[in-house]
Amino acid sequence: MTGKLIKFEFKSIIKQIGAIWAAVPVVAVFCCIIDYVFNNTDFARNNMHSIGSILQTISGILYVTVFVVLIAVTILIILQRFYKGLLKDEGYLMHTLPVKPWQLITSKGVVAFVVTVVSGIVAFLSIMILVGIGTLPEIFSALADAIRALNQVPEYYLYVFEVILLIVLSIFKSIYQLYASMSIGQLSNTHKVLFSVLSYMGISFVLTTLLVIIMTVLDSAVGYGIAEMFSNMEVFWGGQLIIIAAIVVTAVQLIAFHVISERLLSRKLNLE
Amino acid sequence: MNTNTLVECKNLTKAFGGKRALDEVNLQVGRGKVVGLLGPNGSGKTTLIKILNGLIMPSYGEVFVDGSRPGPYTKSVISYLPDKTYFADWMKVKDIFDLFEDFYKDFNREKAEDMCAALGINPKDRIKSMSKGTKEKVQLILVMSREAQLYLLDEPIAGVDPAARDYILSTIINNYNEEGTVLISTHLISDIERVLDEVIFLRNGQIIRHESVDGIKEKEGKSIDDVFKDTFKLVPYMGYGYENEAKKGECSSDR
Repeated sequence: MTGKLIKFEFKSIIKQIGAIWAAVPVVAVFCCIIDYVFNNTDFARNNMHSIGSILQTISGILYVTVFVVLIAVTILIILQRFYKGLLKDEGYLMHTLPVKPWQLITSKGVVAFVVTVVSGIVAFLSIMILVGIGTLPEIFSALADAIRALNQVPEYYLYVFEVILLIVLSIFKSIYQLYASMSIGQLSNTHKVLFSVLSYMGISFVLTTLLVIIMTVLDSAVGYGIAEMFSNMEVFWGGQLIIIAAIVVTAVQLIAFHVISERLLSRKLNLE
Repeated sequence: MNTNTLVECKNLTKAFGGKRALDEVNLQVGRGKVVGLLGPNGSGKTTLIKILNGLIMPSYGEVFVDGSRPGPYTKSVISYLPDKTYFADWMKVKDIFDLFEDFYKDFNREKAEDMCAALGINPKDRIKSMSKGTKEKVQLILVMSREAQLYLLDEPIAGVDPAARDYILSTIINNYNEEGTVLISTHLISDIERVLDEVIFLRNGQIIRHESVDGIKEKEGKSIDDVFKDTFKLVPYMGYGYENEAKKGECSSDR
């Protein structure tokens, strides 16, 4: 059933975001073409200088605009699909489907993750296009160098895996923090959006405070300070300690946000 | 799970803040009936329907539908018509049919498409561009195209013209699964009483009457609409002067 929900979610967003995913690289290519024509052809350089400047400015503004729209639409879709899909009128449809609340939340989370990653890839690709296709061989050779270096010290592949895992968990955590905030905000009968924003700020404040407290306690527990402890460790194991701690902290937050959202939608759903 | 009781509530209570929307409700509803859930606004009808649906949790007490507590199983046997339209802006009629086909084994797509055709609704039409009345009809089609055990219809005829009321009622009566039960909440009794087998009167979150329509008519010799009006009669405010005059009258008669 979760798979069917994910399919439904993709269907609901693809038209909105698909157009902007297509537009960003197209505008980047357009910018490149304008740039190439007016900088690399003698005729245009000599005879159409002012038109070239205008077109380059327009294409530049156009690119920045679609780039900003890409970011805005990505964030908006993540917020809107949860808020409108589960907490407003559409909630009457979704919460009466024969599925459990965790499945509804997971389907939204998975699709939001994919949207974030694809938007990131589209943004990266468009920057690559702007920087110039000519730089691609350099990027590939830098990648090949990195892989060669990794092959000499295979245990560093562990880092690659851990960093990817941390990125994935961090994206999910950020999405689920939004979900938990909206699940808390919907408890208000009158100001759901305001309470959601306040919940988000409250959660962020509590997390930062907790982190500072934990670091301070750890610092004094270690006795001679965490920085000192790391300087006495091998680089590999010091790095491992940091990255594993980051993974654990992110995973704990992710689980907590999921549990908060699931419990509130199961027990305290407040559809208007 | 096929016992004779389809819906069972035991001491069902739901409080919002300090106010009890449902207050110790005990109820049993059997199968194959059309039941009217009747009461004035704010009597707890929608709250009861939402609890049966699993949309809200009771403060305490228990509820069973087909022997199970609200959850994925009960949702799979309940066909629910809310008093809101629940479509998303991007949806076409066929998208919502796809969704129902994916999630409800008892959804009869052919029947839904036939009902659409009868009403001149194109499944490829975007729901956003439809009128409120057409959206409500699409929701009714979705609900009545399922072979559900329990149909929960929350105010299906509120806010529509008399012709549309007739259409909605005849669609319900001609299309529900006859082994299932239809629970219709409304305060527009006169339009609906001809289709009811049983009625439940709710007042201030409590069931004050649950009887068969024939039984009530036989006992009281009145229509359900009249019984409802007598039960929920309100004393109109006639103005300050009237109140004082009435009091004076009471005083003099006391002497």
